[in-house]
Amino acid sequence: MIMRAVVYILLLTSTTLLAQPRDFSGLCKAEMKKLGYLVGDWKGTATVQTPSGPKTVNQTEHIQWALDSVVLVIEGTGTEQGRATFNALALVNFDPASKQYKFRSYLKEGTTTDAYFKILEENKFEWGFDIPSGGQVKYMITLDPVKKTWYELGEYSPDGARWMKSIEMNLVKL
Amino acid sequence: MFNDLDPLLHSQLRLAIMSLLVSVDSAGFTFIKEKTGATAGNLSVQLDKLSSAGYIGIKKSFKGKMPHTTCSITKKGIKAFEDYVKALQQYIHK
Repeated sequence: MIMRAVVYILLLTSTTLLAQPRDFSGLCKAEMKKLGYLVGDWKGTATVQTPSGPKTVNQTEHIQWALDSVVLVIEGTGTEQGRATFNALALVNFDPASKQYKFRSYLKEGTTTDAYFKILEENKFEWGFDIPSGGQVKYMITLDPVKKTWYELGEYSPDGARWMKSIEMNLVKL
Repeated sequence: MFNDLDPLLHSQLRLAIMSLLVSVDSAGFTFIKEKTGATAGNLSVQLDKLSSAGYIGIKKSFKGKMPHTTCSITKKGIKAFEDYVKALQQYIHK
Protein backbone atom coordinates (compact mmCIF):
# COMPACT_ATOMS: atom_id res chain seq x y z
CA MET A 1 0.00 0.00 0.00
CA ILE A 2 2.81 2.42 0.98
CA MET A 3 4.82 1.36 -2.08
CA ARG A 4 1.84 2.07 -4.35
CA ALA A 5 1.45 5.54 -2.80
CA VAL A 6 5.15 6.31 -3.33
CA VAL A 7 4.95 5.26 -6.99
CA TYR A 8 1.82 7.37 -7.43
CA ILE A 9 3.50 10.46 -5.91
CA LEU A 10 6.60 9.96 -8.08
CA LEU A 11 4.49 9.66 -11.22
CA LEU A 12 2.47 12.73 -10.32
CA THR A 13 5.63 14.77 -9.64
CA SER A 14 7.31 13.76 -12.89
CA THR A 15 4.15 14.48 -14.91
CA THR A 16 3.88 17.92 -13.31
CA LEU A 17 7.52 18.65 -14.13
CA LEU A 18 7.08 17.51 -17.72
CA ALA A 19 3.99 19.67 -18.14
CA GLN A 20 5.87 22.83 -17.23
CA PRO A 21 7.24 24.58 -20.35
CA ARG A 22 10.93 25.29 -20.07
CA ASP A 23 11.80 28.95 -20.02
CA PHE A 24 14.71 29.87 -22.29
CA SER A 25 13.95 33.59 -22.26
CA GLY A 26 17.06 34.45 -20.22
CA LEU A 27 19.37 32.80 -22.74
CA CYS A 28 17.44 34.19 -25.72
CA LYS A 29 17.42 37.75 -24.36
CA ALA A 30 21.15 37.60 -23.63
CA GLU A 31 21.90 36.50 -27.22
CA MET A 32 19.44 38.97 -28.73
CA LYS A 33 20.97 41.81 -26.73
CA LYS A 34 23.99 41.54 -29.06
CA LEU A 35 21.75 42.91 -31.81
CA GLY A 36 20.52 45.75 -29.63
CA TYR A 37 22.14 48.64 -31.51
CA LEU A 38 19.98 47.82 -34.53
CA VAL A 39 16.87 48.94 -32.65
CA GLY A 40 15.60 52.31 -33.79
CA ASP A 41 14.84 54.16 -36.99
CA TRP A 42 17.37 54.39 -39.79
CA LYS A 43 17.34 56.41 -42.98
CA GLY A 44 19.58 56.64 -46.03
CA THR A 45 20.04 55.22 -49.50
CA ALA A 46 20.36 51.81 -51.11
CA THR A 47 22.02 51.32 -54.46
CA VAL A 48 20.75 48.22 -56.24
CA GLN A 49 22.45 46.69 -59.27
CA THR A 50 19.89 46.33 -62.05
CA PRO A 51 20.32 45.03 -65.64
CA SER A 52 20.30 48.66 -66.80
CA GLY A 53 22.89 49.76 -64.25
CA PRO A 54 22.95 50.85 -60.60
CA LYS A 55 19.76 52.38 -59.22
CA THR A 56 19.65 54.36 -55.97
CA VAL A 57 16.51 54.44 -53.84
CA ASN A 58 15.67 56.01 -50.49
CA GLN A 59 15.74 53.38 -47.78
CA THR A 60 14.39 53.29 -44.23
CA GLU A 61 14.62 50.58 -41.62
CA HIS A 62 12.34 50.52 -38.59
CA ILE A 63 13.53 48.08 -35.96
CA GLN A 64 11.89 47.22 -32.67
CA TRP A 65 11.76 44.53 -30.04
CA ALA A 66 8.83 42.18 -29.63
CA LEU A 67 7.96 39.57 -26.99
CA ASP A 68 9.95 41.31 -24.28
CA SER A 69 13.18 41.48 -26.34
CA VAL A 70 13.05 37.85 -27.47
CA VAL A 71 12.25 38.74 -31.09
CA LEU A 72 13.58 41.55 -33.25
CA VAL A 73 11.20 42.95 -35.85
CA ILE A 74 12.82 44.63 -38.85
CA GLU A 75 10.83 46.51 -41.46
CA GLY A 76 12.66 47.85 -44.47
CA THR A 77 11.13 50.16 -47.06
CA GLY A 78 12.61 51.37 -50.32
CA THR A 79 10.98 54.41 -51.90
CA GLU A 80 11.35 56.06 -55.28
CA GLN A 81 9.85 59.52 -55.77
CA GLY A 82 7.86 59.07 -52.57
CA ARG A 83 6.37 55.73 -53.63
CA ALA A 84 7.27 52.52 -51.77
CA THR A 85 8.69 50.11 -54.33
CA PHE A 86 10.13 47.63 -51.87
CA ASN A 87 8.79 46.61 -48.49
CA ALA A 88 10.01 43.68 -46.41
CA LEU A 89 9.61 42.53 -42.86
CA ALA A 90 11.98 40.22 -41.04
CA LEU A 91 11.81 38.48 -37.69
CA VAL A 92 15.03 37.51 -35.93
CA ASN A 93 15.22 35.33 -32.84
CA PHE A 94 17.70 33.09 -31.08
CA ASP A 95 16.74 29.44 -31.16
CA PRO A 96 17.79 27.79 -27.88
CA ALA A 97 17.55 24.29 -29.38
CA SER A 98 19.99 24.82 -32.26
CA LYS A 99 21.89 27.63 -30.49
CA GLN A 100 21.60 29.67 -33.68
CA TYR A 101 19.84 32.79 -34.79
CA LYS A 102 16.77 32.34 -36.98
CA PHE A 103 15.95 34.91 -39.64
CA ARG A 104 12.71 34.83 -41.60
CA SER A 105 11.76 37.58 -44.02
CA TYR A 106 8.41 38.38 -45.56
CA LEU A 107 7.75 40.38 -48.72
CA LYS A 108 4.61 42.40 -49.33
CA GLU A 109 4.14 40.27 -52.45
CA GLY A 110 3.45 37.34 -50.10
CA THR A 111 6.65 35.32 -50.31
CA THR A 112 8.77 34.30 -47.32
CA THR A 113 12.43 33.39 -47.07
CA ASP A 114 14.31 31.58 -44.33
CA ALA A 115 17.84 32.87 -44.03
CA TYR A 116 20.85 32.21 -41.84
CA PHE A 117 22.00 34.99 -39.54
CA LYS A 118 25.26 35.11 -37.63
CA ILE A 119 27.32 37.54 -35.63
CA LEU A 120 30.80 37.96 -37.09
CA GLU A 121 32.01 40.32 -34.38
CA GLU A 122 30.54 43.09 -32.23
CA ASN A 123 28.05 45.05 -34.40
CA LYS A 124 29.02 43.10 -37.50
CA PHE A 125 26.50 40.61 -38.85
CA GLU A 126 26.01 38.38 -41.86
CA TRP A 127 22.79 36.96 -43.23
CA GLY A 128 21.98 35.18 -46.45
CA PHE A 129 20.24 32.32 -48.17
CA ASP A 130 20.25 30.01 -51.18
CA ILE A 131 18.17 31.32 -54.08
CA PRO A 132 15.59 28.70 -55.14
CA SER A 133 16.37 29.32 -58.82
CA GLY A 134 20.08 28.84 -58.18
CA GLY A 135 22.91 30.77 -56.58
CA GLN A 136 23.32 32.39 -53.19
CA VAL A 137 23.12 35.83 -51.66
CA LYS A 138 24.81 37.16 -48.54
CA TYR A 139 24.57 40.48 -46.76
CA MET A 140 27.20 41.93 -44.43
CA ILE A 141 25.98 44.54 -41.97
CA THR A 142 28.44 46.81 -40.18
CA LEU A 143 27.13 49.14 -37.49
CA ASP A 144 29.15 52.04 -36.10
CA PRO A 145 27.64 53.26 -32.80
CA VAL A 146 30.02 56.26 -32.74
CA LYS A 147 29.15 57.53 -36.21
CA LYS A 148 25.60 56.11 -35.83
CA THR A 149 25.87 54.45 -39.23
CA TRP A 150 24.69 51.19 -40.81
CA TYR A 151 26.61 49.95 -43.83
CA GLU A 152 25.34 46.87 -45.62
CA LEU A 153 26.86 45.14 -48.62
CA GLY A 154 24.88 42.53 -50.50
CA GLU A 155 26.57 40.06 -52.82
CA TYR A 156 25.30 37.43 -55.23
CA SER A 157 27.12 34.29 -56.24
CA PRO A 158 26.03 31.88 -58.98
CA ASP A 159 28.37 29.15 -57.71
CA GLY A 160 29.52 29.99 -54.17
CA ALA A 161 32.96 30.97 -55.47
CA ARG A 162 32.48 34.16 -57.48
CA TRP A 163 30.69 36.99 -55.67
CA MET A 164 29.21 40.10 -57.29
CA LYS A 165 27.85 43.19 -55.58
CA SER A 166 24.04 43.31 -55.68
CA ILE A 167 23.21 46.08 -53.23
CA GLU A 168 24.99 48.62 -51.07
CA MET A 169 23.15 50.44 -48.29
CA ASN A 170 24.23 53.42 -46.23
CA LEU A 171 21.97 54.47 -43.37
CA VAL A 172 22.17 56.88 -40.45
CA LYS A 173 20.39 56.34 -37.14
CA LEU A 174 17.73 58.99 -36.50
CA MET B 1 7.36 9.23 -92.18
CA PHE B 2 7.21 10.80 -88.72
CA ASN B 3 9.35 13.78 -87.84
CA ASP B 4 11.48 13.45 -84.71
CA LEU B 5 10.12 15.10 -81.59
CA ASP B 6 12.59 17.55 -80.03
CA PRO B 7 13.89 15.56 -77.04
CA LEU B 8 14.43 18.77 -75.11
CA LEU B 9 10.74 19.62 -75.33
CA HIS B 10 9.53 16.04 -75.01
CA SER B 11 9.52 16.24 -71.24
CA GLN B 12 6.48 17.12 -69.16
CA LEU B 13 8.07 19.90 -67.12
CA ARG B 14 10.11 21.50 -69.90
CA LEU B 15 7.06 21.46 -72.19
CA ALA B 16 4.95 23.03 -69.43
CA ILE B 17 7.56 25.78 -68.97
CA MET B 18 7.64 26.50 -72.70
CA SER B 19 3.82 26.47 -72.89
CA LEU B 20 3.68 29.06 -70.14
CA LEU B 21 6.40 31.26 -71.59
CA VAL B 22 5.08 31.19 -75.16
CA SER B 23 2.00 33.15 -74.09
CA VAL B 24 3.64 35.81 -71.90
CA ASP B 25 6.42 38.38 -72.29
CA SER B 26 8.23 37.01 -69.25
CA ALA B 27 7.48 35.11 -66.06
CA GLY B 28 9.06 35.01 -62.62
CA PHE B 29 10.56 31.85 -61.16
CA THR B 30 7.96 31.71 -58.39
CA PHE B 31 5.11 32.03 -60.91
CA ILE B 32 6.47 29.19 -63.04
CA LYS B 33 7.04 27.07 -59.94
CA GLU B 34 3.45 27.58 -58.79
CA LYS B 35 1.95 26.91 -62.22
CA THR B 36 3.96 23.76 -62.90
CA GLY B 37 3.98 22.38 -59.35
CA ALA B 38 7.68 21.58 -59.72
CA THR B 39 10.18 21.68 -56.90
CA ALA B 40 12.59 24.62 -56.93
CA GLY B 41 15.57 22.32 -57.54
CA ASN B 42 14.04 20.45 -60.46
CA LEU B 43 12.66 23.63 -62.02
CA SER B 44 16.06 25.27 -61.76
CA VAL B 45 17.73 22.33 -63.55
CA GLN B 46 15.15 22.28 -66.35
CA LEU B 47 15.34 26.06 -66.84
CA ASP B 48 19.11 25.78 -67.17
CA LYS B 49 18.69 23.10 -69.86
CA LEU B 50 16.26 25.27 -71.84
CA SER B 51 18.53 28.26 -71.40
CA SER B 52 21.63 26.33 -72.54
CA ALA B 53 19.76 25.33 -75.70
CA GLY B 54 18.94 28.98 -76.34
CA TYR B 55 15.19 28.35 -76.01
CA ILE B 56 14.72 30.76 -73.10
CA GLY B 57 16.55 33.67 -71.54
CA ILE B 58 17.03 33.88 -67.78
CA LYS B 59 17.56 37.25 -66.15
CA LYS B 60 18.54 37.59 -62.50
CA SER B 61 17.89 40.94 -60.91
CA PHE B 62 17.24 42.31 -57.45
CA LYS B 63 14.16 43.89 -56.00
CA GLY B 64 15.63 45.56 -52.96
CA LYS B 65 17.58 42.83 -51.19
CA MET B 66 15.57 40.01 -52.70
CA PRO B 67 16.71 38.27 -55.89
CA HIS B 68 14.22 38.06 -58.71
CA THR B 69 14.59 35.55 -61.57
CA THR B 70 12.70 36.24 -64.76
CA CYS B 71 12.43 33.90 -67.74
CA SER B 72 11.35 34.68 -71.28
CA ILE B 73 11.14 32.61 -74.44
CA THR B 74 13.53 33.41 -77.30
CA LYS B 75 12.83 33.40 -81.05
CA LYS B 76 14.68 30.08 -81.24
CA GLY B 77 12.44 28.78 -78.45
CA ILE B 78 9.25 29.87 -80.20
CA LYS B 79 10.41 28.16 -83.41
CA ALA B 80 11.31 24.97 -81.50
CA PHE B 81 7.94 25.00 -79.73
CA GLU B 82 6.02 25.48 -82.99
CA ASP B 83 8.02 22.72 -84.70
CA TYR B 84 7.34 20.42 -81.75
CA VAL B 85 3.58 21.07 -81.94
CA LYS B 86 3.57 20.50 -85.72
CA ALA B 87 5.52 17.27 -85.33
CA LEU B 88 3.16 16.08 -82.63
CA GLN B 89 0.15 16.86 -84.82
CA GLN B 90 1.62 14.53 -87.45
CA TYR B 91 1.51 11.68 -84.94
CA ILE B 92 -2.06 12.50 -83.95
CA HIS B 93 -3.49 12.93 -87.45
CA LYS B 94 -1.91 9.86 -89.04
